[in-house]
Amino acid sequence: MKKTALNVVLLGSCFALALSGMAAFNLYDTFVAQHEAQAEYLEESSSSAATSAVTSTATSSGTSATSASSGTSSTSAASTSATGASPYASTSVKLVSKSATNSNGVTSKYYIADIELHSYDDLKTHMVTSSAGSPGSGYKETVSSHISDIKAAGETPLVAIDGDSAYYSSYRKGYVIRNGLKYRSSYQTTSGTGTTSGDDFATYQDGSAKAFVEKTTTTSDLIAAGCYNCWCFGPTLLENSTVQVSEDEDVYQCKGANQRTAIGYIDAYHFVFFVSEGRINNSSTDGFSLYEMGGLLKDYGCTIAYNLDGGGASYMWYNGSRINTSSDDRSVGDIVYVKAS
Amino acid sequence: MIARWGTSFMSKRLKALYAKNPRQWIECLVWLMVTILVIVGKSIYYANAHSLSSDWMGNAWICPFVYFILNLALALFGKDLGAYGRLFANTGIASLILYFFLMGVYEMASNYNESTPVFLFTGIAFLIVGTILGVAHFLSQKKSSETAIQA
Repeated sequence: MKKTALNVVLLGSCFALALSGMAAFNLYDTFVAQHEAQAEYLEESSSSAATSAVTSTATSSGTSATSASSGTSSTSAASTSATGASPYASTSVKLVSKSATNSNGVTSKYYIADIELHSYDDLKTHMVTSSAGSPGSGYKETVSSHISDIKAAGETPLVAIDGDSAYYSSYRKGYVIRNGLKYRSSYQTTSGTGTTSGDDFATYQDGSAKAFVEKTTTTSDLIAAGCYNCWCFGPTLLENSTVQVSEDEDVYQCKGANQRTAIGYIDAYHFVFFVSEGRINNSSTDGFSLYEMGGLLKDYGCTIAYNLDGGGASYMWYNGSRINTSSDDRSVGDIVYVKAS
Repeated sequence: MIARWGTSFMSKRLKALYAKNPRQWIECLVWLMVTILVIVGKSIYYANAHSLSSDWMGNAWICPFVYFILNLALALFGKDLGAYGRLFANTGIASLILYFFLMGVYEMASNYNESTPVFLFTGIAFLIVGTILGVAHFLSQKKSSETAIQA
């Protein structure tokens, strides 16, 4: 009897140790360990699919773009550019600094970069990758380093904000399409709120943008429809000029009021970048909630707006210097920027 | 110690029930406490999850509660699963609770680890082994009591 009891205690201890070890490793592997992204990395979109999509999308899109187009020599090129051409002669960015009082009665500053694009591919993303071009949770750098990389590549950035941190963890899911290239095709769950809402935001080669629930489409369909960039953070703040988030909806690890980063769409080729200050006096009262941010972007004239990685990652770079001051200069895997055309 | 001090408040009937299988009653008490701990743990996590919640974590208490009910039924009949049966079944339930909790943590963090289902499979496997060993113990108990009656 005593021997049995001893055996049970020993075996039980082994089981308990094994279970705790497994749980600890599981958590470490998910939140701490750094991995390279494995899934569906760099699947280049076919140009034929993209071109046909531009034509079809543009047919149903606004006529103002058609009237603004200038004549081109090639018939096929003319039909493409005529239906999806930008009404803006050059890409320009206007920075607006504003302040608003949130539900806590605290006034916080926010910045809106009003962007008019000459071409859809002037709104780009930059990701840190391995030498082989693979993104991963281990590849991050500060926004200023991103800017240096962009300049080194021969482009002139006008404005930049932090992106959606699509690879902050190797197990994170969500569609990743960057500058026309498909990086990840696994969709997120749609049961939660914030980053688990499953909302995505995409920009297209006809200068338009769309917010949608990931599960309702695939990356292949997005590419075929002319998608140039797709972000998977969320949630969608505004759609059809209506605020889509509830007053208490938030992103994991964020407070009701916080530094925020968002991207908004006003009209074809007309976008905004939004970054707000927060946590200056009190971490739970400064800044804005998602609901308040949606309202501010609606007031500015956005028809669609989408939340990107906020909090300590919030960062706006404009005309050679950082604009917001209250967040960290955190290393991030990707940024969204506008280049001079 | 419980036999000496912990039963002082009990009625005669309750004392008689407890005396049938004291070890099994302690087992019940342990799993009732685990159920309460899981609920408290969930509440503490929710309080710091910035208004996020998860059905995985929210329902994790069901595992120890169901096991508590099973243990209570066995205790009322003065039976138990035996030392090894109890060991495996307890480990299985612990593994299932961990699985539910981890899934809840990952859902709220918009994250996932592909090795997490190992806890589910381990839990089910251990529960099956525990059940088999428990039934074997149950049958051997029955056989030995029949032999004792015959003798």
